Amino acid sequence: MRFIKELAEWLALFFSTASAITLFAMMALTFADVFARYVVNSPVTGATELTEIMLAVVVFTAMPMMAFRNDHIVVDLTDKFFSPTMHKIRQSLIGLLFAVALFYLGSRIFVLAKRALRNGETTEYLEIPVGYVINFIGVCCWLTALLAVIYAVVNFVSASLPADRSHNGSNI
Amino acid sequence: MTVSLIGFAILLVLIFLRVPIAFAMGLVGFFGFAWLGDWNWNAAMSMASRRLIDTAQEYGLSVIPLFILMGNLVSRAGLSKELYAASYSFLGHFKGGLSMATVVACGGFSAICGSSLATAATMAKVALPPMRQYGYSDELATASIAAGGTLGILIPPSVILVIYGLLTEQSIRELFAAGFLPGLLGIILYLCTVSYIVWRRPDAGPRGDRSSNAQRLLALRGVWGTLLLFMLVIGGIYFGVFTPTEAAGVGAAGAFFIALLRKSLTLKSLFHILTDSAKTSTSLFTVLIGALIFSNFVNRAGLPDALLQIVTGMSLSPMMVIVMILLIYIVLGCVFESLSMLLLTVPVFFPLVQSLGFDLIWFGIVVVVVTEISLITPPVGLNVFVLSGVLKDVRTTTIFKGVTPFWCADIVRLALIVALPAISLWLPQVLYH
Repeated sequence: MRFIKELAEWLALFFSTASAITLFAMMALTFADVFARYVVNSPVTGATELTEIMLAVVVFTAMPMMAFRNDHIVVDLTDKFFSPTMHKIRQSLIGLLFAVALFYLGSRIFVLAKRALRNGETTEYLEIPVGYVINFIGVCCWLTALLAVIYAVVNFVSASLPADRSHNGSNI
Repeated sequence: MTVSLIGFAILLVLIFLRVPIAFAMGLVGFFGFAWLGDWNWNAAMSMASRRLIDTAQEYGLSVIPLFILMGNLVSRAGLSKELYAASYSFLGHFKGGLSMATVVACGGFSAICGSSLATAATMAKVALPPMRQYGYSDELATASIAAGGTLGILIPPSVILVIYGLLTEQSIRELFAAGFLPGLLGIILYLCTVSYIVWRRPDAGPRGDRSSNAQRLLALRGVWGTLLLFMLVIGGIYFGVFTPTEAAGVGAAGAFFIALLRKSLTLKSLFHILTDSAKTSTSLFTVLIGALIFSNFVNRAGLPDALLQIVTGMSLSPMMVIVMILLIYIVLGCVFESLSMLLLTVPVFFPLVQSLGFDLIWFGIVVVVVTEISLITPPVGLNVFVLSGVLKDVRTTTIFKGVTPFWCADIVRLALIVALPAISLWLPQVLYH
């Protein structure tokens, strides 16, 4: 159990680091593109489509960590009506349900990726196969599902309440 | 209509059972969509997956993580300190002057930060210690930060306005232009509120020291970083030099360089800022995706059309409809956090508002102002909770109590903006028409 938990933590950390680095790269790319266009008069080829791909990477690589830390936006007004045990059971159930949903979504996304690859869809300038990006999103969905299951199980078996980082606002 | 109402009811139940808001919206949207399509699971699954894939790769949305990153970087760069010093040098010697300086500094910070919570959290660190030192009451001190912070999502750049613009297909440039004067109006009304409070209770906010003109000049020189970023980002957008995404990227990079220059960035803090920004963006995107799946269902169930029919059937005057929508927002604001409220309601209301002949840019500003109000309305007024998170020794009830006069000022502002659309529409009119 401890091993699985550590592995999950490591995976989540790895992916959220990837997310952070991609976000920095996105900023650097936009800046470089603007700089190149207005100062040297030669824009970066395919900056737009690279930004789009990077956006997907930023969003989806941060998701496993979100599932593992239970870092969701919730309405916690009814918290005082649930006993700690009820709360624990409820959190695990929601985690499992979330995992099931993401598993099915991921499966469907793989089908869509296959279709895109078969049709040979690529991005306009750099001709990156769109199916690869979709596949990557599918992998992230499955990984998120896996970490949500691990969260649900760890939450359920541990004696104390695990870290629950759910919050009631979108921080903006 | 009935189907959508059932959908909304189930959604509320799930949310009160503490199902994450994004997930609840996605679930109800998915099952509702499948139901309307005679339980065609594949179609519903494809709809949901497409939403997931397309939303995460939408170029227009790349503004969001970049503006969030910019906000977090400017918070780190410590520009708030100079902003406060500058506004203090002009306002500090008035009664309640430190609170006034706080409000103005919040407004200034909002001009480089698109988030209300970041504005409140950042300003709390610089504005509270001097107010305590001069013996300001906790109520006035914290309330001026909580209320001033709400300006973050109105004065451009604004993450909420970007999302509204994408939902309703309105120009972000015009929305940003439209938010400017209502933001200034907000500052003026908050200043009046502070004067009113110290007029009623002079001991709540004593005078600070008067600054000499030389000191003022020196303090003004300190805000170059803020001014530069604002001119670069908002000026760039207003005059069409940058698209919003480019402006956000340049702004984030600018904030990064300023933070580097001021040596306020270490590798560790940079990493922290980046993961935090990515995390915030992701939770925003999940809410967005969930809401889009939900609105697919509601649109297919024909809710916007049904609403329009009801409204025309009851022969309500258009202004009555707006007032009713605003009341709904103020009630919802007590339960929902800002973004979820906006995403749930705007897709339903905007076709109605549009067909009643209102300007969607104006409606966007109105929606953002009610969202600002929800940020300081109990029980879930997030700005208040952010403050009580930063200042462990102040109770949320104290802040809520202090914020009440500011809340009233917000209602006045809302009424003014609704009654006089020119406040929002004049600047975009002058710039772009």
